[in-house]
Amino acid sequence: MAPRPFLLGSETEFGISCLDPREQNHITNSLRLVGFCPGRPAPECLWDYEGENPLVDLFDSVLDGEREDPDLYSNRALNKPLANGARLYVDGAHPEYSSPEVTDPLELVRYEAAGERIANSCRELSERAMGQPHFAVHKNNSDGKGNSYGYHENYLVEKQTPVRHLMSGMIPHFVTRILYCGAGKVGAEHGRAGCDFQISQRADFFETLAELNTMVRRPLFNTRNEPHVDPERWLRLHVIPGDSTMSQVSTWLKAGTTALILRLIEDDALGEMPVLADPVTAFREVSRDLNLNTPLPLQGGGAMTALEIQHTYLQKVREWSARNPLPGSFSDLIERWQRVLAALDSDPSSLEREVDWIIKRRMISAYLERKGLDWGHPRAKAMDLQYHDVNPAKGLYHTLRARGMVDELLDDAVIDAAIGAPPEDTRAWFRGQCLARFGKAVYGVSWSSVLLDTGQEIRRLPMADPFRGTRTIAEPLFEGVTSPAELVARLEGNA
Amino acid sequence: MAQKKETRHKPSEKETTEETEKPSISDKGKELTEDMDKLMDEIDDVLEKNAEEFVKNYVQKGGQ
Repeated sequence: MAPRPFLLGSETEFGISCLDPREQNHITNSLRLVGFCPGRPAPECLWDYEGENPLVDLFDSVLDGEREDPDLYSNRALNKPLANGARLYVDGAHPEYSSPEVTDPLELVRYEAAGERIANSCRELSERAMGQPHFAVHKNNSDGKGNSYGYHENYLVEKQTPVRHLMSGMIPHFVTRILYCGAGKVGAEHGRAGCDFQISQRADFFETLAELNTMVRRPLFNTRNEPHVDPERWLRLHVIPGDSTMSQVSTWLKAGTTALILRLIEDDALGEMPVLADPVTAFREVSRDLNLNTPLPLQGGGAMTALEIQHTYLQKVREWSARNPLPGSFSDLIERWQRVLAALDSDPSSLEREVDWIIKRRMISAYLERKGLDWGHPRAKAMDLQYHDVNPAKGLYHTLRARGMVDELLDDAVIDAAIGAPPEDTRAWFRGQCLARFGKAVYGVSWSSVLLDTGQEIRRLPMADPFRGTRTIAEPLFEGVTSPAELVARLEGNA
Repeated sequence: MAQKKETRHKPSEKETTEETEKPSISDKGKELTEDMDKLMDEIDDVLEKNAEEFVKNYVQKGGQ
C-alpha cells in the first residue's frame, strides 16, 4: 500500500522597519509593503473568511471573541492571495507569508524560501517606487526588546488521535528540537536569565504548557484547532514555539522530524516518552545549554539531556520507518537527523555550515574575536539582527551563502520556480490554477474554498479534502474550459 | 524536484587545484583564516553604516 501522504505548511511573520523615522506605524508599513507584491494574477481577489474560526480548540470548546470579517476594501488591502497557492497578508502589525499546503518537508523549505523572496521583491519594488531604500524586512522572531512574533507550523493529523497523546508526544520534541532548528539569539529578553548567546529566538517568551491563545501567555502546545479541512476527518496541529530559520537544513529538519513524530503518534507507535518535570523552564534551559549537557529533570525522578531525548525520538522513528515506507525526502531526512545528532554528540562546531544557531554563533564570535569586542557589544546584536535580513545584499546569512559557507538543499532556480507555481500534489494546485487561468473572475479564495464569478453569480467551490484538487485529479477538469461558468458546469456534471 | 547535490565547498577553481595538489593541513588552516578575514571585511561592508543605531531603534509590535 502506498504510504499515507503528509500535509504541512508554515507561516512566517516578518519584522518590518521603515527607514523614514516619520513613518513608524507598523500596521501602515505592513500594508504598504504587501501592497507592492508583484505578479499577482488576480489583484482584486478577496480572502474568504467564511470558514475561518481561530477560536475553537482541540477539545471542541469555543473561546469568546470576535471573528474576523473585514469590509471589502480592508480585505483586499490585508490579503494578497498568490499564484503559488500561498497567502501574503498583514497579521496584526506584521507582514506574513503562509506557505501553500505541501506534502514533503523539502517542499516546505522550497515554498518558504519562495516566500522570503516574495517579501524581498515587495521591499525592492518599494525602493524603486520611493527612489531610495524604504523598508527593511527580517525573517526573525524578536526585536531584542521583549516583543516576539511567530513562526508557525501546521500539520494535518487524523481526527481520532487523542489530544493527550499529541501533548505528551510533542512537548519534549518542541523543547529539544531547537538543538538543530534554533536560529540563535544574542542575549536574553522578557526578564529571563541573562546570557551572551542562546540557541532559540523564541524560548524566552513561553510561559505556559497548553493554551488556545498565541499572543498572551504563549503556550508550548497551542490547542487551536481551525482545521481548514473536513473536521470529521482531521485536525490541524498549530505549532508555535519554533524559530524562523534561515538555514535550509534547519528548516527541513524542523518540519520533517515533527511530521514524522506526529505520524508515529497517529499510529500509536511512539510509546512512552520521557515526561519533563517542567517543560516551560526546560525550554529556556535547553536554549542556554551551549555545551549540550544540562540534565532536564523528569517527572517521577531522573533526568535526561536534550540530546538524549532527541536520540530517543530518532530511535523510535527509525524502528517505525523500518516497517513503514516513506515518501519523498523523509528517508534522507532521517539519515540527516541521525548524522546531525551524532555531530552534536561529538563536535557541534562541525555543523557550522548546516545548523542555524551554530552558523550564526560562529560568525559573530569570529567577528568579535578579531575586533577584540565582547558579546555585550552592540555590534553583536546588530549582526544577530542583520543575519535575518531578507535582502540578499544586506542579510548576513546571504553573505555567508554567497561565499559558499553554508550548505543548502535546493538550487536557486528550483526556489524561483515556486514563486509563481503551486505545489502539484495538494489542493493548492487547484487554488493556484484558478487564479492563473481565471484572473479577476476569481472573486475570493481561502484554504478550503475557491469563489468563482460565473457572470451570473458567485459560486463557492468547497475544498474540504486537501488531497483533492491536485494536478493529477483536477487537470482534466480544466481541459477545454475557458471560463468559470464552464468549470462550474463541468463540476456539476452538466457539461 | 531537483535536489541540490551537497558539497562541503562551493565548487570553484580553487577546489580543483586543491584536489590535484593535496594541500597540507597547515595550508588548509591558512586558507580558512584568509577566508574568515575576507568574510570579516565583507561583514564590515555589509553591516548597516549605522548598525548600532539601527538595532537600538529596532522595535516591533508583538505578534503571535
